This record gives sequence, structure tokens and C-alpha cells, in this order.
Amino acid sequence: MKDKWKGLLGSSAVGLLNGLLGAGGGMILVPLLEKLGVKGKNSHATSLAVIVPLSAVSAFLYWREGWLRLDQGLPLLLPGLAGGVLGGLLMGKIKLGWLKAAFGVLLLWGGIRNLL
Amino acid sequence: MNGWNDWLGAAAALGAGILGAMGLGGGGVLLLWLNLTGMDQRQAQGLNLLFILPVGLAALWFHRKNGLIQWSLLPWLLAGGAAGVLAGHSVAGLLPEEALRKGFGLLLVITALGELKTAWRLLHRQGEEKKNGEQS
Repeated sequence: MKDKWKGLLGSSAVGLLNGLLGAGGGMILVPLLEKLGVKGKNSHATSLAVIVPLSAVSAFLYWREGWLRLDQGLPLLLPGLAGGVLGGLLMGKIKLGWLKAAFGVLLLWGGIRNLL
Repeated sequence: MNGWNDWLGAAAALGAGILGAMGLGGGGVLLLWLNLTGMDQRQAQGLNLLFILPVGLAALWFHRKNGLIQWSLLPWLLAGGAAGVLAGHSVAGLLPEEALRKGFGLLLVITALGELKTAWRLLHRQGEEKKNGEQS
């Protein structure tokens, strides 16, 4: 009962971030789901089941405003999809520790660069 | 536009796809690259949203097959999320581009710190396991 309201409130923050910054959401949603008792792989899968439809709505709104240019997007989709397949295959075969460390340093650098 | 940028863009998209599929926010990498090319922040965000769809749908198809999705909470999460998206999109239209760029920068820093914390924990645990002779 209470979980539903927590889910409703938390996911509105996820949507806000998604519509405002075109990214993020998973970083709020996964911990929220864990708190609501959806654990491990289930929380990632369920988070994706929320983020994909929300991103579709956001993408449509962006496109309507002229903020999304499909001609810029198409060249990125194929390598992205190839990466997705590769990532799926690599999952569980690669030690996440160092990968996350490298990814964290990269994002930290990019974030600071944007802030300055 | 110029050859190098196309190749680097494709590489960034490939990397973002790999990271996205592994449950690491792949969007960060793609937006980072688009920021570096000097693309307008809203356009970059729009591309990232578009990018999430095919990779996310493919992953969802596998997750559904594996029965990993918790359906019972989904209507509530989608309802709250949709309201948030409408509000977020409206605010994005009101703010100057610079504010969005800074907001995204802040999000990146927060995500990065979270990733580094998890990385530290994972690497620490790996070290412990090695000491204990890799119990499995």
C-alpha cells in the first residue's frame, strides 16, 4: 500500500530528471526499487521497463520542440545497438570493479568540465 | 561533417551501448562526447533519449523472457514518471542552455562518485576473496 505511493513519488523524480536532462533516472530508480523490495537483477530490469517508455515520451516531446534531430541520431544508433549486444555478451565475464572505476573517473572529468 | 568526428562519435556510441547493456549509465558517455563536440545541450539530450530506445528495448526483451521484470509496481512507476517527464520537459524549455549544461555536469559528478564508491567496494571485496582463497 505505502509502497505504491513511494513508487509514485520516487518515479516522478525519475521522470523529472529524464525530461529535464535527457539522462539519468536509473541512478534514482534502481535504489528506490531496492528499497521497495525489488532486488538485484530484478531492480535493473524493472528500472529499464520504466525508463524506456519514459524516454520514448521525452524523446517525442523533444522532437516536437525541434530539439531532437533524427539525421544526427541515425549514425549513432547502429554502433549503439552493436555495443548493446556486445555488452550483453560481456556481462558477467568481465570484472566490474575496474570498469566502474574507469567509468567513474571519465564521468567525473566530464562533469567537472561542464560545471566550470 | 569531418571524418574523425564521425568515427569518434561511432566509437562513443559503441561504448555507450556496451556500458548501457551492462547496467552502467551509458547515457553519460554519449552525452559527454556530444558535449565535447560543442553540440547544443538540448539537442544532445534529445539524441541521448533517442539512443536509449533501441538498446533499452533489446535489453527489455531479454529481461522479460527471463522473468526479471516486477510488473505489479509498474503502473504506479509509469504514472509518476510520466508526470515527471512533462514537468521536466517544460522546465528544460524555460532554462537557459548554460543552466542545463551545468545541471547535467552536476548529475555526472554525482553519478561518478556513486560509481567510484561501488568500484572501491568491488575491488576491495575481490582483494579479500583472493586472500581467502577464492571461495565460490
